[in-house]
Amino acid sequence: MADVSFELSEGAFKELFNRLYPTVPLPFDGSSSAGPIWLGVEGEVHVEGAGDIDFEDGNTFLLKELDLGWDKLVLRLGFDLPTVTIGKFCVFRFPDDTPFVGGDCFFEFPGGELFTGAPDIGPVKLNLNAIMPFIVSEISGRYSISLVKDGNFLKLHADVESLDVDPISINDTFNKLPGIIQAGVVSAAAIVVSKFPQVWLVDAALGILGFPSVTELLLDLLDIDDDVQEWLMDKLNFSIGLPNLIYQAIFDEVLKKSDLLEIKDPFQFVPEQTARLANFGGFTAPPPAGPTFTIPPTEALIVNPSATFDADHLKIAFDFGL
Amino acid sequence: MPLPRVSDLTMTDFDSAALRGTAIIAHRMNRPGRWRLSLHTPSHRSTVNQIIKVVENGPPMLAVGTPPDAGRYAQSASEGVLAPGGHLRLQAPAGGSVFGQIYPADGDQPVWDSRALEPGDHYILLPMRPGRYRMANQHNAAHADLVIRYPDPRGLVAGRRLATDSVCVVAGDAFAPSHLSIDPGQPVAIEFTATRGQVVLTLVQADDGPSDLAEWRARHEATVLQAFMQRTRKTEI
Repeated sequence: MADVSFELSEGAFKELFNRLYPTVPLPFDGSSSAGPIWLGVEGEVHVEGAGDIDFEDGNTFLLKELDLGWDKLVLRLGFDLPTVTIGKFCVFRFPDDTPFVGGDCFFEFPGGELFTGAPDIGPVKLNLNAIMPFIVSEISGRYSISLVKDGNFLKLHADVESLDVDPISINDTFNKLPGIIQAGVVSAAAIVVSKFPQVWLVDAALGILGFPSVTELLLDLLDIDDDVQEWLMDKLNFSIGLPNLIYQAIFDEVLKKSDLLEIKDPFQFVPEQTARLANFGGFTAPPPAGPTFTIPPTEALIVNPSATFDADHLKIAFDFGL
Repeated sequence: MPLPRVSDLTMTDFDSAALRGTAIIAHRMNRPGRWRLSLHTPSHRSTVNQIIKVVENGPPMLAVGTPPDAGRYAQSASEGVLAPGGHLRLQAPAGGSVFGQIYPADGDQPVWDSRALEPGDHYILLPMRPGRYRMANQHNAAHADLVIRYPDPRGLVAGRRLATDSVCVVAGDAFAPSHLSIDPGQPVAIEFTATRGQVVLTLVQADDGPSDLAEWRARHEATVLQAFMQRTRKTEI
């Protein structure tokens, strides 16, 4: 039987664990392009603390829920307008009865092109802070605990072994999203018009593409069906890889926060004291004068420390090296 | 050679004797032999000097300066090969203006000058700016009127589409046809027959569209955005 042992309940452990948090706002940034659309996200999150914690056999515990707080979310939207080839046609062809190449074009008028280069329009920034309260992010993790000698302390470490960031979802945003997207499209359309001050050239390009207006062209490129939330979640989670960005943002920060508690080692039974001869009594008055002297602390090294989970408790035990 | 720039698509003056922008000249070379092509800027500074060997079994087309879309017939800039009866394709470098002359490889008298195109030559251009143009052959009295229609987006809403096919004009003693009406983006291919020529196309009056188009555009934008909002808003229960 160990010289000293004590137990922490799951509730107490969770309280202890949550003293490591919250973190400062952790920034992240990422982008991707898919066809004519370029998407980027810049944001900030902070870790608020642990939700549900389950002890596992041995020295690991499962963090079922790491609560995330959102501080900033901005979507950047850019458009790579489709290249419009204008006027290209075949001037001369081989006669049809020419062997092998009969009917092939050998002299082409190249025409001209509009909208080459990428991205052509944007990025336009869409502030999604208004929907942050509706974002649901689920993060879970597995930690292991250990007792580590660190200087004059024995420390209980909780080290993250794995973190899982699920794709985020959005609860009903009360129709805030369509308005935000609309504002982005309007801004992008204005950029198109500003880049091509010749209105007739824009009308000609749109006419060749088959769209009466720039707005309709951009909406077609965005390809948003009736569910804007689903569209946004698909872009954030799978096109940009938001869960991975969040993972990278918080993992290092979570790694830093590992010390749950510390015990002085050597363990002090009685602290250092300063005394005078007179403190020991039994002398007739007046007490004799004498020097002040120090009584060293009574202490012992901690040996054989252990920390294990047992059903609903964390059991910490150690011996004294007496 | 870089792709044509937006400014090339906004040109309103075209001159076959000063090739620039998207315009090209097709010249047929029938006689076998070694020839030298020189492209000159208007100040007579030579920009390209290329030997052309017209030989049997040569390719049917030679694009001078190897424009990026010359395809499988692209050749190096210093020397080229062409079959007898094959066509030379001339195009100006980006931002520049040129005329071309062909000499015998060992001669100094030009046998062909793009400033006076010959029967069998083609001058192909892409005027985009809506408006009314005048086309004239500087070597005779031939002239024609060209109208480029404004690409009214209301036509698109009504289901119409812009024409994109090329339009052919024969340049003889007169232009045929002498009145053309096209959409922006339709190239005009002028073939010289029985006459020499220098074609000049000049914008006479620009067309910026119907006066009520701006107001329609604003209304249409509002309608489009309203439809988007209605389509994507979730019905509150």
